Amino acid sequence: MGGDELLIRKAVAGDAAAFGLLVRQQQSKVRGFLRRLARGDAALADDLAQETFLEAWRKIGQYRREGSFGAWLCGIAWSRFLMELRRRKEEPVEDIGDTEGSDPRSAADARLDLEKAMARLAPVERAALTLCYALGHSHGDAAEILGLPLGTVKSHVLRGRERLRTMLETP
Amino acid sequence: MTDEALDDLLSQPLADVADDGFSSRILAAVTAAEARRSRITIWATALGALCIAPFLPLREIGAIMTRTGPVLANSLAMSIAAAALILTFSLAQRLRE
Repeated sequence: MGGDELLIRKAVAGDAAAFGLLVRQQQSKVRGFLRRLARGDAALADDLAQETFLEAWRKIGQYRREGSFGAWLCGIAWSRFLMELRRRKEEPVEDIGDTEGSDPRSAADARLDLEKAMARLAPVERAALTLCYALGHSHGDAAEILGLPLGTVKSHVLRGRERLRTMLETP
Repeated sequence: MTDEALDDLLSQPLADVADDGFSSRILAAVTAAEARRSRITIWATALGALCIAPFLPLREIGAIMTRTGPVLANSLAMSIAAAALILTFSLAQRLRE
């Protein structure tokens, strides 16, 4: 039995300390994912991450060991993010985001360019691209996390990727 | 931009986010929530017991216990059952550790 599996079993049995260790392992991934979804708003991302982990603790009995624990957490994080979007009634999930902003090529750092360009994508495209590339999940995992059909996720990835390419290439 | 360059850029791992007490805050919130939940459970159980206590046939239960208590205490089957319970509990404790 792997260390993570043991920690998960203990957490499912109600061991808060084991859950604390899982939080320590996963916090960077979940907060990083949420920061990208929240277009770099670290305070909002951290609030959502806190809600994500507290919800995970309440629902840990429902965790099925089919996917990774990190993927399960990302699924909760995504639903928390969607709730926040609906609460704020801004930035529809499927629509492209704010198209104003600085020229993505003006920054020297390619990573900064990428973050700026990512911020201009629709939230669902940002999520799909981040899950499939930066976090290394399969399209199937991403579909499970986002609660979307596989084909829809694939098209979000393709469309988001092409939009990014255009933004990164346009002077 | 080539497909390869774009894929490389997209595949860069997300920047590490320093913990800075985040995990401790979550653990504190979880512990507080658990304490609150167990307080609520204790109070609800106590309240439920208080509500049904007047309706229990306590005198009859006492009489039955007086009659059957010595018989059960001297019963081999009960001794075996008690030993099995203790062993199961000890094993479960050790497995949890």
